[in-house]
Amino acid sequence: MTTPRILAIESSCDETGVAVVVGGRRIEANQVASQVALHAATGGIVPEVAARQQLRWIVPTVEAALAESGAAWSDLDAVAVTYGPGLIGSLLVGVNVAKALSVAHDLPLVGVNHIEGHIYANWLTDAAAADPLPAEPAFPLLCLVVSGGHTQLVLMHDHGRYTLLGQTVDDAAGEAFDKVGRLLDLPYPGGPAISAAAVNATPATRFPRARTEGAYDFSFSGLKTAVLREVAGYRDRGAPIPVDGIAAAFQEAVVDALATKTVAAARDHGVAAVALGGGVAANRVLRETLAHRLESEGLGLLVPPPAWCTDNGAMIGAAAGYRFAAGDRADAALEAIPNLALPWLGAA
Amino acid sequence: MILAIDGASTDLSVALSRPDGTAVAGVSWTAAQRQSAELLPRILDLLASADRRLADLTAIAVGAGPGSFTGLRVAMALAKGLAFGLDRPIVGVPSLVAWLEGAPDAHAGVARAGAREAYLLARGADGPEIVDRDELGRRLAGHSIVAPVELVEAFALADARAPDGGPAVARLAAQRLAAEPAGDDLSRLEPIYLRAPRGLAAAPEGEVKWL
Ligand SMILES: [Zn+2]
Repeated sequence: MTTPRILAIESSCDETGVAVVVGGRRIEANQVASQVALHAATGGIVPEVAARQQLRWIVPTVEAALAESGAAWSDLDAVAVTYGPGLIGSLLVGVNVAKALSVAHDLPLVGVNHIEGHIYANWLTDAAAADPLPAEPAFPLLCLVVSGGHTQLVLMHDHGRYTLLGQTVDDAAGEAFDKVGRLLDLPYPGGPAISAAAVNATPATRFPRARTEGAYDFSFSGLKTAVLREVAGYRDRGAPIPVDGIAAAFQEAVVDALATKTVAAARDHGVAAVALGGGVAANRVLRETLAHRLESEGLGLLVPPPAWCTDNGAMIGAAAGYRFAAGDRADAALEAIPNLALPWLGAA
Repeated sequence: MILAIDGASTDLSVALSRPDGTAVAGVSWTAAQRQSAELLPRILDLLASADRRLADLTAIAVGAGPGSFTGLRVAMALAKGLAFGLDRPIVGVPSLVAWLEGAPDAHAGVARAGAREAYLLARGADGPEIVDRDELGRRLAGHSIVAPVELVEAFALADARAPDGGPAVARLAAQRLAAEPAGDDLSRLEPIYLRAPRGLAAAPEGEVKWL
């Protein structure tokens, strides 16, 4: 069986995603029920709210994905599910629904790491893609996974073989966007709001870039404090806060940190290409800055469309395609693991 | 054959009954924090030991709490997945009602509600209430109760037996199904949470956005 058709479920945070993916690449269905509007009221994700909504929306989302794909249960070869990392209450919903569906239809179960899903979003093609499908990303592939929950630089040697080169030592990049968005009284989620405010704005200042012990590590909590101090300065003087200019300066600092370390890692490790993943990969300035700086290194940047960068089931189905082909199988005892790590190889 | 699952505490219970609610087989055990790892394997073991298959199930019944958020999520996600996957009706049954139904001489059912509080359903009461540990001791003095093992230890409760909700969840679900064969709405069925998420005055309501 070279092209398994997999029903894939993602419920690690506040999106309920269910997809049908063939051969780890072709999306036949990709349904996402987003709770973002519910969390806007609290200015961030309340885990218990997210978990309750997952349980409420999981069955309608599975139904919608099956309807979109037109697949019958007998057309499916496996059920895949994110089992970590993520919010435990949210993960439990997808994991247990997936286990139940797998035993109900006697289908193999594949457990997928959420970070691996973000990486494999770079393998996805839509249902309309003509055969032969576009070439797969080449190895070694440097992957920058940036979202509200994670910021990691991962060197991918081959399918399923990874070295962790660096990660954030404090806040995730997306988390920093949310926190600074709140400081600037911008709506939740902070990422799109800050990007929108920063368009056409001249940076109001230059925020310092953090030094980290690890060559490819990131730190964003000092930057957040610098923004806080900057905003407080305007307040103390009774001066209007240049929200757009501060947003632009903050975004510039985050993008510069991400791009500088990614380009350095790409150069140091002689990679074939660089790939982006995670919700922050939807940030246009990050995409453009990184693509531009990599171009002068003679390297290409792979960026999935925004809908495949934010949490979704298709990326889990992509990773599951390769896990399934490699013989990975989970069973009825599969647990949700909130701090699940990829099986890292030694230092590169 | 009805499959009943109760995960409202760390004392899990699974039962099989005939469609009229007559017990066929059951198992209950203390799962500590491993509800998600243990519940489905035990369900499959129970079916195998009763020489039945998932395809023999006619309905899925699930204890709806109130109680352990984790246990309820695991039990209800499994129940929803089985009901959807097998295309069978689902019925939610209040867990504390089932606990009392299964222990006719007990005065109250008690489940954990956070570090210092419990959900209390006194026999004959309209519904469960949230009671703090000290008041619980006063209210329950001299009465026999149904309460999970870990709560009995943590709150030093006396004259308690562990819940075994499965058989009564199956019985009460059979009664519901006799009157309403379609059971509950599979998508909308939710645990009885009774309290808002920590830090919020009320759980936010609203539709999701389909991306
Ligand atoms: Zn993610």
